[in-house]
Amino acid sequence: MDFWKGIIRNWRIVTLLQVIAATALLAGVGEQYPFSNFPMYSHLDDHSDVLFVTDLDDRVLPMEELFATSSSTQKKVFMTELKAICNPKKRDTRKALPEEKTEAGGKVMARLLTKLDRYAAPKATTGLRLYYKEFTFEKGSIHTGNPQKVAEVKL
Amino acid sequence: MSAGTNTSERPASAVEAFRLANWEMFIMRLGFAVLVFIAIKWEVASLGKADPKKLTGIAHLMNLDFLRMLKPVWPWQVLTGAGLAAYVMGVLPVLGLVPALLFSIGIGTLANSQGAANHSTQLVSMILLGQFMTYAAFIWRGGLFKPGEGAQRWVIHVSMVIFAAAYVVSAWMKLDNSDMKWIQRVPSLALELQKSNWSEYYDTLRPVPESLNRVVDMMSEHPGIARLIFGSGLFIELFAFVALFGRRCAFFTGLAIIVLHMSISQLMQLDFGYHMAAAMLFLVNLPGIGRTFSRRVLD
Repeated sequence: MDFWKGIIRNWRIVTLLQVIAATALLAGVGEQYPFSNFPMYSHLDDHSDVLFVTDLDDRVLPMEELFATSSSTQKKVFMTELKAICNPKKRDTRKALPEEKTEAGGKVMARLLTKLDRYAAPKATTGLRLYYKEFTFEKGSIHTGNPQKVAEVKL
Repeated sequence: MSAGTNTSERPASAVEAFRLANWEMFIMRLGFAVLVFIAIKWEVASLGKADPKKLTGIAHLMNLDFLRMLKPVWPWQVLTGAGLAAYVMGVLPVLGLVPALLFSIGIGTLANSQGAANHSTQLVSMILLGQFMTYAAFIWRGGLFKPGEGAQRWVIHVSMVIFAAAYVVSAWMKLDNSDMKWIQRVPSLALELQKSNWSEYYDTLRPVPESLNRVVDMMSEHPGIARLIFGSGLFIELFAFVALFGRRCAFFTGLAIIVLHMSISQLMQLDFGYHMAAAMLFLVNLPGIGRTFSRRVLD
């Protein structure tokens, strides 16, 4: 009994318990805004990827200027779409078929076009392409894969 | 215990141990009000509709798409600003925080219900929610119109608990999701550096910094050093709760967190402005640095 009284009277232990309780709440609730368990960079594996946009001559265009969004945000949207396609087939997104990536890329491009600032693109731009590029970590060094075209539209 | 209480007494709680003066708490509220206002994504027209399959938070309960139609935005900004001004002055904070709370959580939820979770504003929104709930809890102690010093100290304490928990849970997720092998896997973090720098290039077309290759090479060639550097970051996150053990602990923990974020920002081209600002306000507490290192303060 005295032990527990001692614990309760020690304000640092009480404070620590408060933080533990708040931590447990955040871990339990997970990603439900505004709550988050802040899982960034918790899954470190040997694979990473990016998404980018080009014109029809494969010149890279600045995503922020064109769509007021970021490459990393749209890559997450792309992966969410790809999961929705692959997971029902009980297949990991890393084993996605080219046509499945194209389907996901088409959905991302359709949403991106609603945000397009036509004046931010060079005047000669007649269309847009969306590319998906993978990086892998093998034997202590990084390998960059060839970009895969996952969507194309004419403007 | 008031600010001028005999220092020989041992504090009974962290709220007492910090002995924040009214003027320090005023500056914290002022800084946090500015932070909250800036962190709200007022450019609502740039948001898409919530994706029904990717809803988060209160978007499960109500359709938040109407927030995209807030035109003009300025009347809502004025309302939010007026409410935050009342909060800063310590007058009717429960009512004053309502507009900021609605827009911070509402717009943040809509932005995160589109298939891509962004983690820049959650900390600010969570602290705002925690402050609102703490003020609400003090209504029954006569703290509706002008909460007393004790209530204001609890508000800051709750803010710090939420701040610390956000870092501890992030460290825990790293350990849990990697089967406690996060530090061993640090060398593959080079991939994330590569990705985030290229993402920045694809966003802006600004060239990838030369230093990136050097860092990536260093991580590959000297995995032990990489583990030491990034492992210390994990250590800072995991032990962020130490910030609540006294003013000096808060000061140094806050500095460590800011240095950690600045280092990651340099390496990965990521923006942690809101997190650093919150650390500066609630932990480092620069205006109160004299009191922090005064012999009169228990720590």
